[in-house]
Amino acid sequence: MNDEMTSVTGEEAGMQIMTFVCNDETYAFDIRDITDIIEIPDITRVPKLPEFLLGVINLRGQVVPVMDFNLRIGKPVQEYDEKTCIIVTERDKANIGIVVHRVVDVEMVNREDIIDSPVKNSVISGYIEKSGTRTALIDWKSLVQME
Amino acid sequence: MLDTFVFETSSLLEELDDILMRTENDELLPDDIAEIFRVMHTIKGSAAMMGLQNMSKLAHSVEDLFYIIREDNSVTYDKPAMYELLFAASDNLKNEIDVIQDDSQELTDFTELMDKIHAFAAVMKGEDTSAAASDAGGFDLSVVFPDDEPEEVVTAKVTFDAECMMPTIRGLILVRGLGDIAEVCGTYPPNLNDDKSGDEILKNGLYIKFVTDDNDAVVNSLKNGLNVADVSIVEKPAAGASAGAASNIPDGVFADDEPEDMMTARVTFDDECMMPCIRGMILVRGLGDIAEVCGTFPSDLNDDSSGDRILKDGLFIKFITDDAQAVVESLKQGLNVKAAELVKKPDKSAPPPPAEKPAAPAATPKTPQTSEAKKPPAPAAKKPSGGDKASSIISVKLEKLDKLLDLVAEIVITESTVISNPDLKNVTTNLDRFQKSSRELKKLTDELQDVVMSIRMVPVSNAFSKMTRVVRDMNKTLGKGVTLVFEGEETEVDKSIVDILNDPLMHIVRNAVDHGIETPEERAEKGKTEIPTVTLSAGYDSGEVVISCRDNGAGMDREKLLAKGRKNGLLTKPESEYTDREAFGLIMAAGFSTNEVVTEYSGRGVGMDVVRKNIESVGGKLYVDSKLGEGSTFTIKIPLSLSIIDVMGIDVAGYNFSVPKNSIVELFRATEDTLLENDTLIMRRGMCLPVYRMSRVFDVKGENKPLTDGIMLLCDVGGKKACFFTDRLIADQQVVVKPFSPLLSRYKLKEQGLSGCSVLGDGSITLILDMKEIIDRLEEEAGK
Repeated sequence: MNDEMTSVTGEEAGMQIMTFVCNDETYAFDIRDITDIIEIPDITRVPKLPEFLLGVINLRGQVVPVMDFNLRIGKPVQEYDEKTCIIVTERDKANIGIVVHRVVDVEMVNREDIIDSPVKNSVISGYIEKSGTRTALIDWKSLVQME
Repeated sequence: MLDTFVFETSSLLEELDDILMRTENDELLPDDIAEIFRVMHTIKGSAAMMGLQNMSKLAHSVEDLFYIIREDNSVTYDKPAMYELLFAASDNLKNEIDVIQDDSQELTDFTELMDKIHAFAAVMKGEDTSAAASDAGGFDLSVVFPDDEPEEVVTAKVTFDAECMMPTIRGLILVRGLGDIAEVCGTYPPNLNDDKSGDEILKNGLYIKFVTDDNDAVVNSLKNGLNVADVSIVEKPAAGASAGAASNIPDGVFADDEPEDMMTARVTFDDECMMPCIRGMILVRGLGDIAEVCGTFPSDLNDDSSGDRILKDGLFIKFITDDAQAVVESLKQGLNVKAAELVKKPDKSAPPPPAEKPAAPAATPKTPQTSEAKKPPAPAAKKPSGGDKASSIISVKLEKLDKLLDLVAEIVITESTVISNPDLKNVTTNLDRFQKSSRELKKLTDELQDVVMSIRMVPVSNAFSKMTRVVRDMNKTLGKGVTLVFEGEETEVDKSIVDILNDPLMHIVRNAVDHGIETPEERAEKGKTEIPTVTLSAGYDSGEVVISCRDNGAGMDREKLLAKGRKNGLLTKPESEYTDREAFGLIMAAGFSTNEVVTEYSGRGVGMDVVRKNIESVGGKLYVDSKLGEGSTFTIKIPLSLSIIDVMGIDVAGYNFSVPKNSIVELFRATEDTLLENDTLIMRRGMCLPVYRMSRVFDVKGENKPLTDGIMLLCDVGGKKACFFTDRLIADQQVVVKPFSPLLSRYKLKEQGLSGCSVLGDGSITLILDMKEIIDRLEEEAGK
């Protein structure tokens, strides 16, 4: 995956995305934000946090907060099964895990194929329509509410 | 190398500041004079070794000054003026240390300050100032000739009539006039548009650098200029004699970074001398008493091949001494010695040998080329005095200590994982010896941890003493005569905290002196008789370092602050609801400054909000208290950065919390008869204390067990006591506190009483509680 990442940064025109499905909708992260995809370990609950923040996990000695994607965007929670997993994302050394129902694929998209969303500061920054499926591209900063 | 220099020089300068502060209003004792002399001498030497000629020269000028004072006790001088110069020199050197660490900045030119110091020294020596000035007039030609000047550049010196008006303009006209016959590369002084250059030209003449085919034509053209008194072609000052002598000195004798005060003697032996190496060694040993030998060339006297080279070129001995003549005499007495003489390092500005390319820098001949060429041992280790003092102290990079601390933390955690390993529970054999060894191990790791912690601890006086200087400077300019008092400055805190404290303290102290303390007139008007004082105090309070800055000045007016806050739109609730602390806290809000006048020291718009942010960024807090007319107190509280803490693990409805042991007084089981008022109060040890269920504190769903059916924690934080009910205890453990991810900072977990989390030996995570925040929050809620 590392090799692919470097090739992505080299090309201006395109980007690689990782698609996942939650409640039958397809979403995607910019692959450069992703550091790990892991099974769900024991999650230590932390009080006084909103419902969508499930708690913290121990990722190789690091304490990483975890959120449920469905709850975060106000959708009903899906029961966790053996294919439910956590996508660990990181920017500027701030990392957070996101519980998603199914991870689907890694794809290449061209910048011009991304249709920007008119809503400002939304979790969804744009859409990609390709062979009949619509993928919502996630704005990481809005998702994690980074200040 | 640079790091060492920066560190050593900074500490020397701090030492210097200490002496200056101490002696400014006191008698300057011979010991102090000698100490200042030593400091400057050391800085001079090490700066020269680093190739920082500007710093070296500045230090040299101060050293000269103190040489005069040291040699002649009866000398009279203007002490305040001298201290201004000394402080200026110290400040400039400190700045320069910052400059050299920043590659993007050029070295500062200290000429102006050095001239002042030289002039002062001249006055002291009894020469009148004008003589000193004219002395300075015989100025150093080398500034006109940069080292890397190509050979074909010719320099002409033009002197103007003394009555010449605007010599800079004349100079410009001359330079322009040369346009046809020569290409002008530059002038000295370099900037002819600067009025200051005019005086310099009148004094020293104007130097014009040019490249031409016809020197005479240029000289003639210049001579025809208006007001021109004389024109001559000047040569680059060659280091004539020494360069000549240097020609038969083999390469490698002189290292580039050799300090200025290191001397070199060349000893030549009789041709028939046997074993010149041995003779050389004996000579070197014989010098032990009168000079400190730093090295020889050839460097290895045990090597036979050195013998031939000594016979051919002579033996070079490098040393530092006060009496060079005695050294030479001593060398001459040696067996088989034909001659002994001092040799000088070839001058930098010496013209390169003609065989070399003209553009090659003159430094080439000095580049060590022989493999034997070794740098002399760093003279930094050879301070003329105080060597004994320094030898028992080493300086270590903070990163190394951090690494060590991390490792120790891991060891402590791993140790508890091993000792309380679940696998051991299934072992049926007797574990007595294992238990004994593990207790031994625990004792040792605890001690190791304490030692590592203590290594990083420094007294807070390091940060405080810097403020003496700040207050002194402000007293000079503001004339408030403020006294700075220290309390508890011996309090030890982690090194990183002292570093963090520097900037906020500086800001707060400046504010206190500038805004807090009134002018002498205002004080007299109010009938305040006590001396205007700023008090810095330090101490511990339940796991926190408390640093406060108290002044007995005007204090702050609550109403004014609220009015100003309203004007700037900073108020978030009705004014009557503001507590005093909240009202005073307004001055820490961004965009708030009550002082209308911008002074040199404060009121530039970046104020207390920056200080507050700095402190909060390391998990600290800043409080303001004030009484109108009596003064203000700024209190900084920073957690002791003891990254490993002892905690008691508790289970609250499935949540794994850890309570720092330093806030727990005792653990007990409550009995029915001690509980009062519907289970909200408890009698314990003759006190009536509030009882809280830990599950309610964090709004987590817990079973409503009767209070007699679990464990009570009696906590005491800063005098506030309360009992907390928890389902059960998990373990007594040591943890490394990790802060929560910055992505969670918006949820203000810290304010709710969760100070961080920690990974336990079995990989699970525990949440560390801050009992102080919790008790404060509960009291506040109860008050409403």
